[in-house]
Amino acid sequence: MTGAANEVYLVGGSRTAFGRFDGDDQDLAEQAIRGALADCGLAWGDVEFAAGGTNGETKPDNLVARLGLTGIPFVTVKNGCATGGVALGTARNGLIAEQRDIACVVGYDNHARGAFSASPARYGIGDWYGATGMMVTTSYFALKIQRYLHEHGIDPRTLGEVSQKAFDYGASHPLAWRRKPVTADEALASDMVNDPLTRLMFCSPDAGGVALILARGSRAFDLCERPVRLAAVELRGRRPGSFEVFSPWLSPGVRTSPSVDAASAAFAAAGVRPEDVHVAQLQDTESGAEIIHLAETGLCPPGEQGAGYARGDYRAGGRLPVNTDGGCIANGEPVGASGLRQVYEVMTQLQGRALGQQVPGDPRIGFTHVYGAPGISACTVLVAEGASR
Amino acid sequence: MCAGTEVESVALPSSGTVWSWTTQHIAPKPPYRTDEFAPFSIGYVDLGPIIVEAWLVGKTEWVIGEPVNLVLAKAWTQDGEPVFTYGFEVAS
Repeated sequence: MTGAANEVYLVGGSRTAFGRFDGDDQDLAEQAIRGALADCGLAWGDVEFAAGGTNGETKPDNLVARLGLTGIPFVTVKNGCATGGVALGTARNGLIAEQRDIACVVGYDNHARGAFSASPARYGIGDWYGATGMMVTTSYFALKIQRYLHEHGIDPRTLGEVSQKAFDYGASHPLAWRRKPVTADEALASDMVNDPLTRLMFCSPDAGGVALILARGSRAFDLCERPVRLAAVELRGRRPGSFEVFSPWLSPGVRTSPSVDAASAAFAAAGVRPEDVHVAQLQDTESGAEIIHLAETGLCPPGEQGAGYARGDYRAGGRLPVNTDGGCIANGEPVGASGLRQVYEVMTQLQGRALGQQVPGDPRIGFTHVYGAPGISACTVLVAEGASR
Repeated sequence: MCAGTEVESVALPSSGTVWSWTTQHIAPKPPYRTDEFAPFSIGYVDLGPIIVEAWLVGKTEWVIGEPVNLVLAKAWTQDGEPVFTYGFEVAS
């Protein structure tokens, strides 16, 4: 089998363990890149285009100091929680626009403990907003899911069931951070952070690195027995009516979301429907976000998520396994790495070599979704190539 | 699409209903400022033409749809004088 000249495929990848890390954040990036190159038998000198992202202070494009001064274009992206998706899209576009064959994408971070704190000035808001305690990301997520549960008649118990699923997947994954199973009751009974969200429903910022190798056209099939086609990667920003972090006001009326727009664009570009997806990764900054994003991406009708969790739909043997590596809740969120972790997990699921729980039944179509400040989302559709296993 | 540059001030109603709420159980990091932290509630209040984010004062458990009225609420003390912000309390 050969690939069309303007199709781009994932041919290799690697992730580090996620969690607390004592070293330099670029150690994580280097480890991931070397692992990804080894995964498909390439060397840094074979890479013709690179894109990298971090939310920290180091410069991804200076990774060449560790890897080799080969003179290639290396684009740095910084798009908050959507960084991984944007870096992946940038590399895909670079290969097609410049007709190059091999690209490397990397994302990494090593965050300090505790929730992020943000500066009002960076978001164009007055100092009063932070001083009065309203500029808090955890309260944003709580306000959003509190309203969502009310509008859609979803039992708050579902929030605990999301955590239970995440920690069960994490417990099976050798590189996840949180690997101790937690029951829904334990999650619901843990310390309240922002009603209705408890400590065991939130992900925490931590450390990790992920790298992927992309190949264009027929090169993919020389490098990899089971390349995964990057059928779509779409980035969208917010429109009026979306409910975003750090909003001193909201417009009334119909709600929309950049996740809705990015997901529908990705499905349209790939020519597949949400019901065709066999395995998915959704931004689960906390339990409520996964519930909302299941509906916003089209993977579940709004209001039916509670029944889906109760039936085990999103477990490895269920209708649509979601966040099979434990997601952000079990892996933490090194912002630059997180979106690429999702893509790496789905790639390995489609290749039948997942590190944790493998989805049974030869999954062929995967989907990933990241979402973050200031109201952006990036979605991908991934399609297994080659014969069925 | 809202890409205009001509804007005008509009007086908003001083009462509305709770659109969403949460209680902050952990002291936020700076730039949050307070004399002494105690759990406090934040909500979005539906005023009709707009939904505004504000303190919800007087209690820490709320119900969506509850009627509330605008009040001044003390945020912190500066040079011995109280500094106020806006909030909403249960309509009596």
